[in-house]
Amino acid sequence: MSNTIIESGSFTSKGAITSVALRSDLDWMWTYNYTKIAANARSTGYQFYWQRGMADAAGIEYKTAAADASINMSVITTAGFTLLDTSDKELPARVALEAITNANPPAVTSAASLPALGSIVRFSSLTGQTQLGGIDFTVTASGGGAFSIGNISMLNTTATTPGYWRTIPFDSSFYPRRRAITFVSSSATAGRAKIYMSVTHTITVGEKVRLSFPGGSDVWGNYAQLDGRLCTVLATAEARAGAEPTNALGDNNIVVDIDVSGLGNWNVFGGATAAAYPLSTRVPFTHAQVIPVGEDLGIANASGLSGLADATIDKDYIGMQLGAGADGPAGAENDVIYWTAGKSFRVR
Amino acid sequence: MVLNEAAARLGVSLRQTEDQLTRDMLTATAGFINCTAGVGGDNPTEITLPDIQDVNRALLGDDAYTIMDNIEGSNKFGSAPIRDAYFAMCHTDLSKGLESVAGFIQKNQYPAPMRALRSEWGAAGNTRFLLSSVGSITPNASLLDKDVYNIIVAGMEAYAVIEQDGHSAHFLYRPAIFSDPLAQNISVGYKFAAVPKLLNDLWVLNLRCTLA
Repeated sequence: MSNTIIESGSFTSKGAITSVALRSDLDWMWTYNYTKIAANARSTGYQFYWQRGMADAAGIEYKTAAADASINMSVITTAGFTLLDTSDKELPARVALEAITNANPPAVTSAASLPALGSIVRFSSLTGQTQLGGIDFTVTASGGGAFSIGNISMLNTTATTPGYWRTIPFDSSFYPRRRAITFVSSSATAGRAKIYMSVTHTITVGEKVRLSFPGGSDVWGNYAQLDGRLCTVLATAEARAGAEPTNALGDNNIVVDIDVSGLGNWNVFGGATAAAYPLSTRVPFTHAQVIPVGEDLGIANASGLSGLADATIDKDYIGMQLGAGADGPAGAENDVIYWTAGKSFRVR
Repeated sequence: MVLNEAAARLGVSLRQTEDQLTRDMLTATAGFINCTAGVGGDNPTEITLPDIQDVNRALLGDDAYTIMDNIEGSNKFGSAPIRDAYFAMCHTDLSKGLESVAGFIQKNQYPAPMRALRSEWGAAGNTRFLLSSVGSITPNASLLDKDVYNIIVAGMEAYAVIEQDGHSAHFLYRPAIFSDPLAQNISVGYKFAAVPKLLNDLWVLNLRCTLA
């Protein structure tokens, strides 16, 4: 029919919430769990349906019974379909936290609820460790009433008493993205620096980045010398060593072509030397940043990587977020999911 | 008549969408400095003259050209000369906070107010401020959970919007006979393809602040 647009595709589930970008703002969607249907599996969802007007995370599930493969239909209200528009930056309500430990990695206790592993959180109204306020962090472990932000070490701080955290559903709209620096040290390769960032980065070898340490030596000690330095990324995810941040998801760092061996140790939050992440008494201050600005094509090509890694790309999209699990349209890990979605001629 | 009205509204939508995409690119990719000289106890603080001067100093140090020429002083009561200036693009919510900045000159105090832009609010230091209702805000991003306002301060040729050949802006109209089988509905819309891009990262800075 005229003015009706249909789009279809497939993906292999990772057993986690999956987002599908769609060209046109859709009005209905079907998903089919090909793996579970082929296996004649029991007590699991085969097919899911959503139509505009349903609540977030809702849908209709076609589910097999436990005793046989007969199909029952049921309404799901969690882990179903949720419309996405990543340009909508409205945030969910903040959640109270009880404490942030002064450890590496720091643990954040939060009895009310926990963020998902790999999601991004932002802290506010902290009574100690105020340096963290307003910085986004990737969640590197979550469970048991606490979660970790493993991209920073909080050694030498005073543990925080109550404050708040909030999930940041979407990363910033455009790539390449600026990131906050949390730790700098010498690489295992002499003459190179290893730089850790608070949120999982997507910077690749060959990219040019500029370092920013605003505020001068009063704030950043010897590391203020790095302000404005342009450098090339020579490696990523180098194995951690010494007092560097402990991230269970992997080492979130880049290795660049500058020598920091003469700057002293990066003593987080005011250690013994002049080279230190700012004390809470320095707040307000500006966080140090890695700013991607270009690419060294020779290095990128020699590494077999894209020569367009620095291209400016709008990463926003509209689409659908699919819940996972036996009763979710995104299925369980390694399930092959086929989907079809459409834009109706008219929605009444 | 209806089609003319639709075309006018779509034209506004198209240009605002271009502005919003450029705004989002600048917010995501430009380096930033927090306002730190305010007294509100937040991080960043409210905007003050020393914060504006910090941005001016950084841009000057990186050889960024100012965009606007100076406006010479004249023999008019209440007016003050305006320095050559960078443009600062920000949200209309900052109109009150800007007027509290020491030395802020409102555009009606310019020696030649007709040389101000329609969206211009005034000047401080070597910066002239342009306000928009779609200015950039990062929600709940301050230490005290307030919204952070991104003030994009740009020098000449700091960024560009690169239009794709043949796709800069298309207004599309299909009469009813081509839109559905019973010729009951018409279709109007627009499309464009463009890429906002930093040309020199040293010539643009995001000055972040909260409201007082």
